[in-house]
Order: sequence, then C-alpha cells, then structure tokens
Amino acid sequence: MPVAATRAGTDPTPGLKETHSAEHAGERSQNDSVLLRVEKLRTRFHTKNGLVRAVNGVSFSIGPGEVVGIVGESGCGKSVTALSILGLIRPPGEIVSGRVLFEGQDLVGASSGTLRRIRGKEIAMIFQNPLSSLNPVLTIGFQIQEAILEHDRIGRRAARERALDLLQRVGIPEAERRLHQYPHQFSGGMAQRAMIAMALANRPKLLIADEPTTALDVTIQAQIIRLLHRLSGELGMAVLFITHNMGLVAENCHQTLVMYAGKIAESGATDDLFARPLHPYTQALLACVPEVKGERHDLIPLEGFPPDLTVESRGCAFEPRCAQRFDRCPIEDPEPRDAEPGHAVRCHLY
Amino acid sequence: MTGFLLRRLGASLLVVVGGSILVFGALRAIPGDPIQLMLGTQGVTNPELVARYTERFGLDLPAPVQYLYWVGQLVRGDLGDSIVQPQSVGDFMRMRAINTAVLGATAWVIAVLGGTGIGVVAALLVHRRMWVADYALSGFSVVMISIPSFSLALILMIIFGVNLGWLPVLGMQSVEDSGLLDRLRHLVLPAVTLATVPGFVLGRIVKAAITDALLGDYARTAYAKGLSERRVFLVHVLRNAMVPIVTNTGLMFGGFLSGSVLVEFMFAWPGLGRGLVNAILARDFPIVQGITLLILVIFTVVNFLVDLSYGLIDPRIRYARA
Ligand SMILES: Nc1ncnc2c1ncn2[C@@H]1O[C@H](COP(=O)(O)OP(=O)(O)OP(=O)(O)O)[C@@H](O)[C@H]1O
Ligand code: SF4
Ligand SMILES: [Mg+2]
Repeated sequence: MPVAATRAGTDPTPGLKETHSAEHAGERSQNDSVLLRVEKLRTRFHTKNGLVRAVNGVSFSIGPGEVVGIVGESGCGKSVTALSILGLIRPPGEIVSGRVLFEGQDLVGASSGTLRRIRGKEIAMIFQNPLSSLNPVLTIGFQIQEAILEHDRIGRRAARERALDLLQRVGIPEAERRLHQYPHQFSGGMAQRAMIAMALANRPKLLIADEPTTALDVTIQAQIIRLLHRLSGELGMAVLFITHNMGLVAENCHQTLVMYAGKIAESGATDDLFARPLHPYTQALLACVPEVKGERHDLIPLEGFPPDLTVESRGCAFEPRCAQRFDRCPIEDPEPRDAEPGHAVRCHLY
Repeated sequence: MTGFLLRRLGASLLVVVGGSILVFGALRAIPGDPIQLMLGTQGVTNPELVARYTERFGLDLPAPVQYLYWVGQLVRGDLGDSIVQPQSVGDFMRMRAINTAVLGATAWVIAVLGGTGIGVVAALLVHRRMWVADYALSGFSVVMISIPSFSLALILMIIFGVNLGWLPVLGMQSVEDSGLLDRLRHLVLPAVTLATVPGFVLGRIVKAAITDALLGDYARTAYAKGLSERRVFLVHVLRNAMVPIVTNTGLMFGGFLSGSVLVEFMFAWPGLGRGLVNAILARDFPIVQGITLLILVIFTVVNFLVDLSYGLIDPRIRYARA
C-alpha cells in the first residue's frame, strides 16, 4: 500500500473545532469559545512492572455545553484522563507534563485550594459504580448537602431544600424519604441518579461521566443516558462522556475521541467520524458493533490485545493488530493530523 | 429489633448456663479433693473431720444435685462460702473484682487510645508514602505483638522499676503511702503490660481499615466534591474505619480477661485473676465457680453491646436487622 502523501504544513495538533457546540449548547457558546482545553497531557504510574504510560500526550477541547465522548477498549487510559483533569491522580501515579486549561486556568500543578474550588463546583464527576462511590455510612441527603455546603455559604435548611429539589430533578420518587436513606437502600440506577444529583449540586459547567451506565441493567442504562442528555441541555452543561459503547456515543455526543494505548487515535465531530471512520482502529471498533441502531452496542473485543503500556513503542501502537500496516508503521509513530477540517487521525495512511 | 434482642438474650443465657455447667463438671472431674487439700495431714489422721467438711459443703451429693443447689443459692444472690478462705465467695470477689476492673479498664483505655493512634499514624505514613517510617513502625509492632507478656513484664520491671527506679513493680499500693498518686504509679506497669498486645493488634487493624477506606471509591467521590484532605479523612474515612475498630475493642475484652491472670500474678496485683489461680490450685470450688460465672457474664454482655453498637455505626447492619 502506498504511503499517503504527507501534507506539509498541516498543524500536527488535533485542533478540534466545536462545530456542533453552537447548535447544541444554546447562546452561551460561540464557535471559538473553549471551556476545557487539555494539551499534551501525560500521566504515568510507577508500578512494580515498570512505568505505565497510561495517558501519553492527549489533547482535546470541550466547548461550553458540548457533549464529548471518549471511547476505547479497557485500559486505554480513559479514566486516567478524566481523573487527571480534576487532579485526582494519586501516587504511584503522576501527571508528567501537559496542561489542563479550564476557562484559561491551568489545573496541572494548581494549588490544592484552587483544585478544591473547581472540583464539585465547576467540574463535577460521576463514576462507574454508583453504589461503591457513595459513602455507605452517610445518608444520601448528608452527602448531597455536603457537596452544596462545601461551595456555597448557605444555611443547612436551604441546603436541604436544594438537595430535595435535586433529587426530584433527577427523577427519584419520594425524594423527601430518600433523603434520609443510606446508599444500600438504593438500587444501582437510583444510586446513579443520586450521584448525578450530587454532581449537579453546584451547577457545574462540566460533568465528567466515567462509564456511568456500565454497571447498570440495559433498561436502566437508557434511562440514565436520557437523564444526562436532558440535564445537559437544560443546564447548558458540558459533558465528557466516557464509555465502551459506540452506540451511546453515536447517539449522544457532539464530538468523539477514540482512544488507544494512552493516545487519541482519531477525533472529530461524531457525525463525520461515524460516517467516515479513518483510523483502522476506529474501523475495527465499528466493525465489532453488530448493529449500530440495535439494542446493544457494547464492544465485542477486537482480536489481539492492547499493547503493554510499560513498553515504549517506537512505531504505531496499533501496528501489531492493524490489518493495514505497512513498512513505515513499526518504525515511526504517526503524528495526529487533520484529515479533513475538524477530523484528526493518528495514522500513516493519512 | 425486639425479636433480635430476644434471640440475642436467649443465646447469651445459653452461653452462661452452658459455660457454668462445664466449669462445674470440670472441677469435679479433675483429681484433687478440696477438703483433703485444705486439711492436709489433719485430714489423713481424722477421716471424720473430712466427712464433716464434705457434708458441710455438700460435696457428698451427686454433681447435678450440687449444681441445682448452687443455682438455687445463686437465684437468692448467694454465691456460697469459700472452702479455704474464712469468708463468703461474694466477699472474696468483691474487692478483687474492683481491683481487676481498675486494671482492665486502664489497660483498655491505653490499648484503644494507643492502638487507634498508632493505626492512624501508620495509615498516614502509607498515605504520604513515607515507607521507611512505615516499615520501622510495622516492624516495631510485630516485635511488640510477638513478645510474650511475661517477658515484657520482666523487661518493664527491670527498666522502669529496677534500673530507673521510676515505678513500683509489685502490688497495688505502698505500705506507708496509699494516696491516689501512689496507686496510679502502681497501676502503670501492669496496665501497660496488659495493653501492649491488644493495643498493637488494634493498631494494625486500624491501619488496614483506614488504608482501605482511603483507597475506596467513596473517598475518591469525596475528593471530587472538593472536600479537604482533613474532611475526607475525618468524615468519610474514619467513620467507615470505626466498624472494625469497635469489633476489635470488644474482642480485646477476652484478651484482657485471660491476660489479667498472668499480669496480676507477675505484678502481685490483688485481683480476680490471681484469686482464680490460687482457688484452682486449692480446688476451692465455690470461688472458681463464682469467678468463672462473672467472667462468662461479662463476656456475653460485652459481646452483646458490641453487636448492638455495630448497628449504630454501620446502617447496613441496622437495617438488615430491622
Ligand atoms: N492506580 C493505578 N496504578 C497503576 N496503574 C494504573 C492505575 N490506574 C490506572 N492504571 C493503568 O493505567 C492504564 C489506563 O487505565 P484506565 O483506568 O484509564 O483505563 P480505562 O480506559 O478507564 O479502562 P476501563 O474501560 O477498564 O475503565 C491501565 O493500563 C491501568 O493499568
Ligand atoms: S499507522 Fe498504525 S493504524 Fe495506521 S496503518 Fe500503520 S499500523 Fe495501522
Ligand atoms: Mg475506566
């Protein structure tokens, strides 16, 4: 296969344009406004088996009100990316380099005071397993009110009122009674709703949802997704939506990032990316989804395994599994480039 | 909840009755006759005296009858009379029980405070990744847990009693001075000896509980809310770590009851443990029965309270029972 012509002078950074944000996020966003910009983020873990380069030069940006999806196989660095944004990486992990600009302010290396003002207030996060993510010995009401009182100087009564309102808003019936209950009295779906209520407590500008439905039943999954979709629209809240599920991304996200081995293999407006998947990995992922409009879109595992992140590969990380690899692939790691406006891909074919 | 309470109460009663029967039977099964031990050569030359005493304490009756008789007395609040001592079992136990309680309570406070403190410090060392200090503290804990308490008692006696001369090593009070300070000084070494093993064991449990809780998903959620390190620790982590702490402070009681026998012996502490050892050697049945009964009751009551307190800390247990 011939080497695709290198387009000299192309900006190598995946300069994602918020083509969708304007139409989806209402008047608050403009085409050039950016809420969060992640630049060349590198996060690694020092483990017994060596240095795990979990996130290895990730760049993307999210506009106000925009819903951005990250997809990729297990272990490709989705959660580490999310945790790095909020500065929640703990030893043995560390952010080695890069910037996380939230409204222009760099959160990498920011003081703990700054991070605390942002966490839960400007950027909130929900997790994969809602039941273990809630404290088992504290009531739901306490946990929501705590989130409110941490960032807002209002009285306990007012906080309670707001907590009640939040529970109703996320569709928890008998909210008054639920406020006094403990997490173990909630089903998984109800617990995730409570987590969402807690995350929304301070009307964050960005919600990071790390596989919020993976642990739930299929029918409940759909309800939670619909809820997130509705709330994001109502509040003009941007969402960074992490999932394994290609179908969910296709249906809900304005922009899609496909991650592989700590890097973004392909990114672009969801419609473009699904209409013309460029990266062999994206193509393989889509080929693994039995039926994009059907009921289940979870990835069927691809053949082969993701690379060992402790070994620094010289060439393309996908090369061992790639059907379209050629002589250049094992030698040189492709740089991301815009194959078409706003659609970046990291592959020597383009 | 009432059903649970009744079931627990019934089980506790069974333990006490069963335990007392076991002790009663065992005492009569082991060789050695209390009357002959007490009378010595007098008994050999005067079988009539032996017979009189045997009848006086009802030891000629079949064991089940003796037991029922003992229970009958017990219901009236009478533990019977000592065979060897010229006093009732109740009188014999009263002062000694207080002395043991003072020693045990002091040791318990030292073990709980010290153990929790050690555990919190150890967990923070892990959290802050101060490995050298962590290893040093863990190593020290292992040494302190594995050291036999009679060795520890001797070491403490030699260092603080003999070499430094700071603290008294025998008894509860000095002959000449019996002020509060003097009593407290006598309390230090036996209480520390008794507290050491349970304290360091508790320290390890607390460390593990806090370390686990800090790595838990809900701690991450708490950080993601913007809470301070201190608040995450005090509100979210410590409360979860309380469950194993409470369980184990309850279990520690058993350790104190058995440990106090040796410690009281070593430090000549006039408590129940020493009384029990001497009574067993003299086959003073009523005293052994009285002391073991008290131990059984304390044990079941403490376990009962511990069980109840889980529910106060951990709502999952509270609701599972409701
Ligand atoms: N605390 C940690 N210590 C060591 N390695 C870690 C740690 N957390 C993550 N990693 C490593 O970083 C890599 C990326 O992990 P991450 O959790 O981001 O994957 P993911 O894409 O979220 O996967 P999944 O879909 O299974 O959630 C993995 O190889 C993982 O082993
Ligand atoms: S660069 Fe990587 S993904 Fe692209 S063809 Fe080569 S091996 Fe495949
Ligand atoms: Mg993950």
